[in-house]
Order: sequence, then structure tokens, then C-alpha cells
Amino acid sequence: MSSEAAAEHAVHVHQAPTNPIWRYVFSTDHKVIGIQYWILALVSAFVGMGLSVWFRLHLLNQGHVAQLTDQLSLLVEGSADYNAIKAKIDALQTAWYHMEPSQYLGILTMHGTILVFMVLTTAPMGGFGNYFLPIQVGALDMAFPRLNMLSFWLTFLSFVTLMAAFFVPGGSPNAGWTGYPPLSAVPDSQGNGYQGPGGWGQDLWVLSIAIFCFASLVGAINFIVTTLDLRTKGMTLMRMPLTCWAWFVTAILALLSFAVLLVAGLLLLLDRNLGTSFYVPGDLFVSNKLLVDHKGGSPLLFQHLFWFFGHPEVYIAIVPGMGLASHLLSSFARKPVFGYRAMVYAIFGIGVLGFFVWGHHMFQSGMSPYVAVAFSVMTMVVGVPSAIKTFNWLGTIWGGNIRFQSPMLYALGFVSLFVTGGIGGIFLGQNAVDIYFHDTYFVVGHFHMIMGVAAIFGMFAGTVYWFPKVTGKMMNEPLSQAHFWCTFLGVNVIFIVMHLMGLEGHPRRYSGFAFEFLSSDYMVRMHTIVTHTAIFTASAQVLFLINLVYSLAAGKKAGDNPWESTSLEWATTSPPPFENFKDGVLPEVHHGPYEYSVPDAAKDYIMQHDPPEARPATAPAPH
Amino acid sequence: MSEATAAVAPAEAAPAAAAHGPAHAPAKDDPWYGGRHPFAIDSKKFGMWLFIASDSITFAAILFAYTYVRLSDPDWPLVFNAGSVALSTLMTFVLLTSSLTMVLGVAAANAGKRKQAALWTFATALGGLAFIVIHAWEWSHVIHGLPEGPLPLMWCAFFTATGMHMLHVTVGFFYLTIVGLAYLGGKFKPIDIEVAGLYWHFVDLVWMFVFPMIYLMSTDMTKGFGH
Amino acid sequence: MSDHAAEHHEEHHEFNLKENLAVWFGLVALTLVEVYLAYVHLPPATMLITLLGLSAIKAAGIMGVFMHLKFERVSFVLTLVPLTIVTIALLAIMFPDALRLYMFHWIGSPTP
Repeated sequence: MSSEAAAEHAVHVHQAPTNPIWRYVFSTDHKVIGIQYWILALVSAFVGMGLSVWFRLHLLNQGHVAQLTDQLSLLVEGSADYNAIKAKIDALQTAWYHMEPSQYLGILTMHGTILVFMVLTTAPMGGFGNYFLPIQVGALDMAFPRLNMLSFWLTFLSFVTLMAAFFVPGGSPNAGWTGYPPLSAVPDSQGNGYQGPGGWGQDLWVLSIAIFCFASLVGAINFIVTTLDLRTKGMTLMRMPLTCWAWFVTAILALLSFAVLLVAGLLLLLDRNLGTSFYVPGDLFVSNKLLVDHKGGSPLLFQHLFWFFGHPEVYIAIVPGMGLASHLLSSFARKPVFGYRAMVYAIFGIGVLGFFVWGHHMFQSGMSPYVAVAFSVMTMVVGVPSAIKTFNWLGTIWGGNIRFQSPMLYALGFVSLFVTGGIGGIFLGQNAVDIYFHDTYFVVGHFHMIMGVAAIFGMFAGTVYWFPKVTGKMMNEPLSQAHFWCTFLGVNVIFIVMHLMGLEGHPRRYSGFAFEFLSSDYMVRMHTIVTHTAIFTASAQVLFLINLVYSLAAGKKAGDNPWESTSLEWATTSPPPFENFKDGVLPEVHHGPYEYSVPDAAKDYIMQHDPPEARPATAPAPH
Repeated sequence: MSEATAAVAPAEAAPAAAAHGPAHAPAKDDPWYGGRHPFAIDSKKFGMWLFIASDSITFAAILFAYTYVRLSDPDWPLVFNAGSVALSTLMTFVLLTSSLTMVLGVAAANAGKRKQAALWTFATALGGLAFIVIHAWEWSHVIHGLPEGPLPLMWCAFFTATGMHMLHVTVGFFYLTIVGLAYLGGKFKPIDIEVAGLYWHFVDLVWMFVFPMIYLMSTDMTKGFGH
Repeated sequence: MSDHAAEHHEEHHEFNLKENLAVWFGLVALTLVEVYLAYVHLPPATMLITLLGLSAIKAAGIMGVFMHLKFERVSFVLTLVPLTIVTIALLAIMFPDALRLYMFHWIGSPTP
């Protein structure tokens, strides 16, 4: 019978292709695709971060210019002091990092788009999910390996399309990462001294997003089918690691939400190029020309469609991080996840509620106030599953035998940032309060904290945690810890200060200091702090790069299970063979995912594929 | 290979598992136990269904966008007449009939009648082609009759919704042709015909919403058959 | 993957020509009813609801019989259908806004 099974294997287990192009470039192997996604996200992250440092420098510069201009107004024209200050201003205005307002908006737009789509959406799902979902559920590959390859290369095409927007006539799009019409929908708003998004930049932006939608859809289908159909024997749904649950829910969100973004983008593209006017309101004059002679469409329509996608997108970015944080806290506190089932239901709850709250991005849009109240209430309700998760994380590490290794630090950093950022969400979710905070730095600080850096910390955690599995080498622990502390302190300073600026009413997306209070000593000092810390934090990322290269070249050799974790990826070799498990024989699962410190067990963890008797009969039932 | 593991595993494993197993061990014959497809359908079919779920949301969003701009306009024009409704009814009939031939194709494929299945599949593709030809003719007619200046919202919605649908029909035409040929050549299995069939029925299903919402809701029958 | 391949048997349903033909006739008949309604001149809201109701019946026929959903496991139907329908229904939250815009246009229009 076993020979029969072996014969069957010979048919089903594919051999690794020998040609390196098919093996490592146009590969259908989920592990290679995962690494490709991860590298794409890494490159995008550095591009996006570079852009942010650039416009931070510009903003600081503008602060100084505004203050010097104030001083100038008190001086007599032509005096020595006057000339000295004038020369200083001129020098600042011609510095390499100085930007024109439209250029500033362009860089801002690209920063947001690159980071939201190419980093926050691709790395947690496409990168880690692709590599580890099949291994963690015990499968040989994703359900549709070729579609998986298609998904990556479409994402790559989308990335190239987006990058091309930097170099086309008219420059990068400057309608913000949300691409609000009518600014983004008016095909040619040039000619009135304002260099609008009339060039190809905005078209390429929309095109890139549309391609990305398709890639995500294909990816999401693959993830859902893999999770449900390819689990190995014994891997019941309630035995899946929380990472798998998180990827599964994320995939459902992507499946349902990108479809709507596709429509938002499609209609925008038609408005720009084929003369429709879904988003162009009536009575809109641009360059003294009436754009539509009928009642016109509605920019609010775009906002609805966009945020119908946009809010689930926030969860697409953060939910994989939540799954990973749960996984790591349990593994490094050597305790089972507190309330595994509650965690699963909370992830689902967040996913479901994510579809009911998109209007809280639009409180200021002039939407129907009745709808706004409903959205506000639903937004508060999201706090419930989020709190369940937070308290369960605390319950998981409570009284644990914590190992403060770098993956644990990043996971704790994730939890900390999630809570800090989440508190701001309670403010912004109330429609009355949001009317004051809307479009201020408070919002910028809030979403960077919770969706930006919290998710990025999830990625750091994933990288250090799984690096030994992917490469067979450990990452350098002191370097990781130094990187963690620099980054963690840095981002907290940057974004908490931004919250404070928002409290004072500093509007976002301003390239200069149009109002007097913006050039006050307070604001300029705040800008100085933010910019200097941003430069410091960005430089600290070099530590991460050095760590990657150094560890890859000269890292300590890792065993199969260096962290003493329980899930199936640690049951195979580091790095895993082409068919994931030795000879393609799938392990059978007998235990839950977080069997740490089981009383009376031989060691302090029971791996999922350990034989049933590894769990002593005297131990209490799992979850 | 779990049988292999079980055979290798020492015999005493079984009583040990039984001692504490039943209380919390999952039932091995549960469809969700793992190692099997919980829905008892092929992964490809499941994948196509998920695509259909997503794509139906795409179409829904387009139709909702249309309804949005329409609701916000107090004097929406009723642009179609009895002639255009007759034509679109014919298109509906063609599409419905192609769905029937698709059903017959899938049934033949599942019964192992390779040639017959391929023929029904090609017939379905031809139905799609007929739909595209009639639709394209209608489009050219409409474009001819358009007023000068910015496109009225009604026609924005019309071209977007029917255009998106026509794109799906066109993709379906090529998809069915390729699958039919590959199945005839022995490269594809009956399941591939079935999956293609799902897609085709979905395209048909979408039209069941586009047709009443775009055409019938914007028709003034008193205008008769003239253009 | 061998055990997957070995274990899963599609629960093939006996093909029923009569049932499929009946559904096809039903679909054509409902289409004709819809076209007839266009001649009757109902108020737009009634017309929309009636048409959508008829279309939902047609969609159910296509999904249930042509697309075989009727013969799949209940768990599959429950996984797929409510998810999609709820998501689509959620889009209706946009409409209060559209109606508000309607009021603006209506007030601004010389002949209400």
C-alpha cells in the first residue's frame, strides 16, 4: 500500500525545473514567488521612504523660509541684515530638496500609493503569505501555481507602470493616493498657471491600480482555495495557526473589495480619456471652460466607491500583522494563545465590520448626515474585536516565560503601535470630532501609526522570525535589536508629534506655510523634530539592510526549528526542499497550533505533527 | 500517504490516542478534517466561483454607480424606443440559448462524449459571437446618433455597463474556443469545460441585470420603432 | 496532493435535460414579461423593484440549475452566496447621498 502511495507520488509531485529562468524568475513555486513579492515590497519601501525624507526636508526648509520672511518684513530694504537674510532665503529656495507645490503633491501621492499598494498590500500577503501559507497548512504548493505566478508578474507590471508615472510629461500624479476627482478626473487642467494632473501621470496611476486590482483578485482566489482545499490531514480549521486565519480573512477582504476599486478606477479612466462624466460635476469651470453642459456626475460617487475598497484595504494591511503578532507572542512567551477561538472570531469580526465603516473617511464630504451617524456608530463597534485582540495578546504574554528575542520585540512593537494608533481612531471615528480633525496632521499621524508602521513592524517581525527558515541562516541578533529600538523610538516620536500638530490644526498636504499660525515657532519646532527624527529613523533602516546582507553571507547556521515553534513550517528543513516536505510526504497533524508548556509533556512545546501520544493524557484539553 | 504513516506508526499509538482522543480530537470523517475538499468540488471550480463572486461585485458596483447618477438627476432621459428593446430582447434570447447549449456541452463532457461536447462548446462560442455582432451594430448606431458636446450621463452609463459586459463576452468567446479545442485535442478534462461553462453562465446572468436596468428602465415605448 | 486527488469524488448529479429545458423556457418567458412591463408604464420605483425581482428569479434559475449550485453542498452555497449578496447590498448605502443630490438638482431646476 505504501508503494502504491509512492507510485502515486511520482505522478503528482512535480520535479523542480532545471532551467534557472523557470526555477527562479518565472517560477510557479510559491516559495520563490513569495521571495519575489518580498523583494518587490522591500524595494518599494525604500523608494517610498526616500520620498518621504525628501518632502520632510522640503517642509522643514519651508518653515525656515516662512520665519525668515517674517523677519525680513521688519527690516529696512537694502540694509545689510536685510540682504543677508534675503541671500539665506534664496539659498533655501534653490536647495536640491526644494519643491514646487505641484511637485510636492506629486511626491506625496507617489509616497502614499507606493507604500499602500506595493508594500502594505503585497508584503504581508504576497510575500509571507505566499511562502508560508501552503507550508503551514501542509500543502505542496498553492492551489493554482500558474495563477500565482501571473499574480506576481501582474503586480510587477503594476509597479513598473506606477514608477513610469515619475518620468512622463506632466510628472507624477498629484491628486493624492486617494485620487479624488474632480482634480484627478479632469483630463487637462493646464493653461491657468496651475500644473494639474493633466499629463499621463494620473492615467498611469489609474492603470497601475487597475492592474493591481486584477493581480490581487487572482492572489485572493488562490489563497482562499489553498486554505480550504489543501489543508493536510488533521489540519482542521481550528488547528490552523492564526497567521493562516489572518491570511484567509485578508484574502476574503481582497476578493470582495478590490472588485469595487476596479470600478472606481475604470470610471475614472473613462472620465479622463473617453469623455464620460461620472465624477465631473455640472457647473465646473476649468481654465474658463465649462466641462459638462448637463447636470454632471458626482465626485462623491468616487469617494464612495474608493472607500468601499479603502477601508477593507486598511485591514488587508494590518490583519496579517495581527495574525503574526499572535503567533509570535505565543511562541516567545511559551504559552498558548489566550482565547484562540476568540482571536479567530475577532479577526472575522474585524473583517466583516471593515465593510460597514467606509463612510468615516467621508464625514467632511458633505455626505448625508444620517448616514454619517450610522458609520460613526459602526466605527466605534470595530473597537470591540480590536480590544478582544489586544487583551488576548496581553493575556497571552501574561505570566509567560518571555524570550526577548528580536521577533518578539517586533511583535510587541506591533501591539504597542496598534494600540497607540488605535486610540486616535476612536477620536476620528466620531463624526462630530472628525469635522475638526479631518485633513489635519492628526489623521496623518493616526493612519501612519496604525496602518503604516504597525503593519511594517509586522513585516519586520516576519522577516526575522522566518529568515532562518527561508535562508537557513539566523539574522544577527544585536543588529536586529539595535534596529528595533531605533525604529520604534523614531516612529513614535514622528507620529506622536504629528498628532500634536494636528491638534493645533495643521492641515495635511500643504507644501508651504500659507497661514501665519503655521509659521509660528511652535509649528516650525514641531516640523524640525519630525524631520530630524525622520532622517534618523530612515538612516536606521540601513541597519536592517546591513543585517540582511551580512546574515545572508555570514549568518549563524540555523537548525530546522531555531525558535522552538510548533507550526508545520518548522517541521521541514531550512530552507525547505522544492516540494516543501521531505519527498513530498505531507505531515499529518495531531495537535493544535499553540501547544506550549503543556503540563506533563516531555518538552515545553508539542509540534503540530508530533504523534498523538506527545500530549499526555493528563493534560487539559486544548483551547 | 497518511495510510503510510499509520502503517509505520507503532500499534500502541492507537490506544494512547483513544485514551484521551475522543473528548477533543476532531472527527476524521468530517469534511473539514483536512486532506480532502470540504465542499466536494474541484479546486478549479471553487476558484471560478470565487472569481464569479468578485466579478459580480464589479458589475454590481457599475450598476450602482449608474443608479447613483440616475437617482441624483430629476429629469433622466428615456432614450430607448420599441425598436431598441426588440433588438436587445433578441440579444437576450441569443445569450440565453447559448447558455442552454453550454449546459448540453458540459453534460456531454461529463458523459465522456468528447466530440459532442466540443461541438456544443463551439456552438456556445458562436452564440457569443452573434451577441457581439448584434451589440456592436447597435453601438455603432447609437454612436452615430449621439448629440454634439459632452456625452450625456445616460450614454456614459450605457457604454460603461454594456461595454464591460461585452468585454466579458469577448473574453468568453476566446476562452470557450480555446477550451473546446484543447478538450477535443485531449489536453483538457471535462472539468475544464465545466469551469468554462460556469464563466459563461455568469456572463449570461449579468446580462439578466444589465438588460432590465439599462434598457427597460430607460425606454419610452411611445417612441415606436423609428430611430 | 495525491490524497486530495484520490479522495475527492465530485458528487455528479444525473443530467436532467427536461429540467434544464424548463429553466430555459422559464428564462425566456420571464424576459418577455419584463419587456411587456416596459409597455405598461409603471412608476419608476415600482418598475425597478418588479424588474429586479424578476431578474433575481432568473438569476436563481441560472445559478441553481445551469451553474449546478442546487446540487452542491449546502456549506458551499452558504459560504459563497450570503457573502456576495451582503457585499453588494452594502453598496446601497450610497443612495441617501444620491437622493440629497437629487434635491439640489431639483431645487436648482427651473421646471421641477
